[in-house]
Amino acid sequence: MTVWCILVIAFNTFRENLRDRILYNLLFFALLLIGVSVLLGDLTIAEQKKIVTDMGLGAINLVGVIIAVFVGIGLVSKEIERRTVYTIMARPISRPQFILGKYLGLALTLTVNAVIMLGVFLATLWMDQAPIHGALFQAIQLIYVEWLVVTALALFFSTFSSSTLSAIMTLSFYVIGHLTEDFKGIAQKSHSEAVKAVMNGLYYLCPNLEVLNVKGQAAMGQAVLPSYQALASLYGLLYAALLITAACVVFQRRDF
Amino acid sequence: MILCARRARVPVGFLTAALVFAIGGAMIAVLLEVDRQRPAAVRAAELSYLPKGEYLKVAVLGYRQLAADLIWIKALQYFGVRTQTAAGYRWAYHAVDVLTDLDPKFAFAYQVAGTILSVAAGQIQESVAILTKGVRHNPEVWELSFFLGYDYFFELHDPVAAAKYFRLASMLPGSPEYLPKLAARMTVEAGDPDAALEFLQRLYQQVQDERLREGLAHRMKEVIAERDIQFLEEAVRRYKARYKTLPRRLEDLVTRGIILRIPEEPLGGVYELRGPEGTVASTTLRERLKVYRH
Repeated sequence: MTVWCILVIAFNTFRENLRDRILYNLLFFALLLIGVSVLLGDLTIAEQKKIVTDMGLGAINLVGVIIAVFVGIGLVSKEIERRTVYTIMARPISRPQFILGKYLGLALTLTVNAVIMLGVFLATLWMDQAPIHGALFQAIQLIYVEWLVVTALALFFSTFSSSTLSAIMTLSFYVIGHLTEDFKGIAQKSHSEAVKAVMNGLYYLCPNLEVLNVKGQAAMGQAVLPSYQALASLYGLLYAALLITAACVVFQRRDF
Repeated sequence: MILCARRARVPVGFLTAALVFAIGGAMIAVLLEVDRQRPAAVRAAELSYLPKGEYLKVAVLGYRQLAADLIWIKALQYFGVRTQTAAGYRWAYHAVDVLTDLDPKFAFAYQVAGTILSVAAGQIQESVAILTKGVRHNPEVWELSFFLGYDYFFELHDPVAAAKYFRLASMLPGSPEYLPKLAARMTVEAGDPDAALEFLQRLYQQVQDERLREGLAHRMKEVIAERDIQFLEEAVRRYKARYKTLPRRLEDLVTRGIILRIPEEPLGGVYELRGPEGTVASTTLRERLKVYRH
């Protein structure tokens, strides 16, 4: 029953995303990739294959992050603003079930996006006769985990703040997530114990999204070890799980 | 009432369309004028405003390769222009330096920048710097060591360093089969212009870029001139050995039967006898290629 409730909410969220024409972004993505590939075909010394591969991986990553942030922040806050949350809460659905369902719904939208974008990407690579390595799939799998973390961040912030504030905070954490290695660097260089403690604390508190970024190696055809891929994915999923748990706790305590 | 509305609708639509066209046209006209008034120097300096790679790396988050590609496409506009100014090449060098900080594995960027900077632009220090950086980050790419060897041999006249890089290149997968033998001939017998000439001919066939080909063709003519000068100096030595005196003019070598004819100077000048030691020089080749001197 619990699982069924979650799935119903997830599927509804997915349908709502489709109604919001989220999948239109795929057209933009496809046009961008094909456009770049055609334009670069004219430049003899542009190294078209490398650029199309980089561009494909970069665009897949960015499109997913944008969806995760801007749809994610509305998952809960929109329901509260429109007061539709009351009708849902009136049913025998617990608040954690609601949060989890919402999260899985967006994850489903992202999965559909990922599959279609991957298809377009592979077709473009094939057209350009660029090599298709297993490493590319590894990179995209880790990009997907990054989306899950960003979605969890957006969902967490949207349980207690407005859409605008949630967007700002999620994007800030996305940026910080790519810079946390520097916290560690600062901690190592600092002579002050307090600075060391704060920087190390921040390093473990903020998401380290760089561990999920293997686009560079993948474009060169260099695969990462399967154990690294598994561990990095596990780290991302655990971080997302932590955020969703926190989101459930915050949502449980909210008054409405 | 309905009639009025219908009548009004046509001119409103027409007026709107006219307004859109007028504003759009004015906007494009202003843009063209702004574009024209924007000094070329400002446009060219765009690349020099690029922040250092180490800072940019942080700013572009996880999209380092993508950022590197975009800078590369921009830099190509400078490398791609047939007649580029020295400043233009300098900025393009800066751009490639930055983008290879972002994506150190972008071997092709090092290669294009390295060859164009040396063969077409004559900016040897920059070429050597970018190729050395390339070899450091991509020791497996034979082309980078190969072109670095070219720079050391032909531009910096350092056959020892050139030998090191040619040897490196010849051991890497994908390098041409002729390379090990030719490189050994060029560098061990550094005074042999024939080996250098053969190397340049092979290289000429390998590159596609017109400017590079022109640069290499000119370099080949210089090597031919050097070979001719060596040939004539040898003839002068033989003349001196036979007649115990130096010839007054180079033509004496032909009339006295030392050589059949004086070779044609490939750069468009003539060969002359200079100085009391019987050295031969060309009127167009200002500096002899040091690498061939024993």
